Amino acid sequence: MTLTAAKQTLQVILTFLASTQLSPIFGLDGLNEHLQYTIPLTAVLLVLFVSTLILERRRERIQDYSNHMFAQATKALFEHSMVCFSDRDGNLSFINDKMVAALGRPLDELIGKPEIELFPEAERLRVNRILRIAANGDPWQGELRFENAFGKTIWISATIMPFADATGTHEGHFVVCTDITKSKESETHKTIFNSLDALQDQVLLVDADTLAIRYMNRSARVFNEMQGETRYESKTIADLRLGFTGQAFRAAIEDLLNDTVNIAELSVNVEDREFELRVQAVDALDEGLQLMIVMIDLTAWNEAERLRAQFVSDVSHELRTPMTSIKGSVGLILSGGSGEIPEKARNMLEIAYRNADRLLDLVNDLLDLEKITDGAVPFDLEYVNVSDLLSEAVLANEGFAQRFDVKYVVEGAGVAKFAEVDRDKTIQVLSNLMSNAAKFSKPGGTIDLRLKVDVDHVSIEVEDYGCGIPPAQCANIFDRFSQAHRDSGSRTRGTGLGLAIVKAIIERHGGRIDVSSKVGQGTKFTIEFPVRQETVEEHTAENSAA
Amino acid sequence: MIRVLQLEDDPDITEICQMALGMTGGFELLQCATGQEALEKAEAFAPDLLLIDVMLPGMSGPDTLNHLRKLRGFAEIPAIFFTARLQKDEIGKFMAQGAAKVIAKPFDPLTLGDELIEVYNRN
Repeated sequence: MTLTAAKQTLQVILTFLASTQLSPIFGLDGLNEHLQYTIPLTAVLLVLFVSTLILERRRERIQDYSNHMFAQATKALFEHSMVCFSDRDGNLSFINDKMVAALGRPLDELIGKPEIELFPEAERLRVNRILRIAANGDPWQGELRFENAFGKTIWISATIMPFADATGTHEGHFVVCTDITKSKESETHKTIFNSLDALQDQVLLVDADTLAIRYMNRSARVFNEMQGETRYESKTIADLRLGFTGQAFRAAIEDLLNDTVNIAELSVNVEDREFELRVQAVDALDEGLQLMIVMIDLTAWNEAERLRAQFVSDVSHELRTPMTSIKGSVGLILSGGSGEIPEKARNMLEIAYRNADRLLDLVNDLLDLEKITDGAVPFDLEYVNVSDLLSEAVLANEGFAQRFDVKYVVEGAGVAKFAEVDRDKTIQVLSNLMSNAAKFSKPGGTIDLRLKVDVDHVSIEVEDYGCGIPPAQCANIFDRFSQAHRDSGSRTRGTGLGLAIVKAIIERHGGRIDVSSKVGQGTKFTIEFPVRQETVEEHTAENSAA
Repeated sequence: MIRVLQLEDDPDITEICQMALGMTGGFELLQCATGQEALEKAEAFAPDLLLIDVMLPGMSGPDTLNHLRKLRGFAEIPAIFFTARLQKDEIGKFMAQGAAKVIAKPFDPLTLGDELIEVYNRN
């Protein structure tokens, strides 16, 4: 370009020189006169030529510079933003790398596709309206969202700029946008944190490594007298009113930290209030493992529960006295103490007597269950041979076995299996399971009782091969009044509390109970009593000393 | 004849006991509804056995027994507590208070007489 310009300038000068030779402009003859004009003119023209050259160079440098600048600016824009261009038919004809990466699709899947397809169905009506604005030649700015290949919603702040050619014909539009998903999410977080502040329960987030407090909701801040928004930031769990040292807290949630449980539940008393703490691990990608603590004030709840238990207990006691009179008087009539009774009346009285018995059983079971679950009954734990208890229970249930024509078969009773249990309560549990098994067995059937021992527990299986329990009823068989066998005939009716009592007794021992059943094939109950190694050692030492 | 002083506030149970012991035979029965009444009539009646309900309005069964024990000749009279079904440790508590037997409600009226005779003979 510069060369062309210089050539043109030279051409002008040469033409001028030639013209001055052939036809003098000023009409003067003679060399002197000729030279007198030609020399300065040539000089002027040379200066002009040189300066044109210089100017052209400069222009060239500026041009180079601005080209470079433009390239860098584009690079910066592409680096910072997602950019795409859609032709006038709305098909994508250019997408920068950043946008391709954000969309998570290969470039060739995108080029030539309608731009509208980037947006989720729900957003398309709005996007179409916006694109019409661009088609009319007006730019648009605002927030939109699209979905990437993995179904994740990406929020963008977008500028849509129409592009027209030199003649003003609409050629398409650019979309320049930045990913604002993060700030959108933090807005969501803000909403969540505001909601947490409205909770009555205390919510805390604690770093799993350092136990430093990351977050407390309003309730927790008030409780710990740390109302100032940021005052808790340098605090750890040990600074709270919970009364835990860091070490003690770690010990209390050991199972959670070892990943053996998903949630740790702790009971804590702070002054005269009772709290339940639920601790869960939350894996926050950017901030490492955190512990979420939800602290629920149980004081009022416990008081209500205590009143309820007291009420059930009172009602049961109050029911007992009239039941005594009903049962007593009917019993006396049936015994003939008040004279002969006609046969039909006797039948009716027997029904009344039997049902008075049932009602009493129910009242007794209710009272039992309340006392066991609220811990009012002290458990008399002894280190006993569970094998002996099983034999005792078999003996106690011989009557049942005969009545229902079944046989109890004990496996594994030969070796002593010790555990720390309440003798009477354990026999009560075994009797309940064994009598149930007898009731639901076919006549002539057997009931297997298997005694097993493991490192940390002794287990007993009670398995019958009777009618079985449908899965839906199996699921809540330990609930009060679940009445799994309600429709299997009045002969086998119980109070509906037996298994709830069994479960409560086992749980007071720190043990567990499970059931598995197949309709038509039978039912197996498995109970486990924990065996603490220290207890075993203690008793082994005692025995060898003796 | 075994003379039984019964302390029971529920009139229906009172009547059932009366009938039950009547059927067994061999009992002379004085029934009182309150501890106060029992204390007033006890000495004159001179019972061989005390049959006492634990839960009573006002003075409780065990309290009444403590007062009765102070009366002349009452220190050794066997006492039977009548009570709603209890746990093992609670029965132990009543036995420690000097009860010869604890009969749980609801009791079987047909065997009540025999139970009383058994306690009487044992003492």
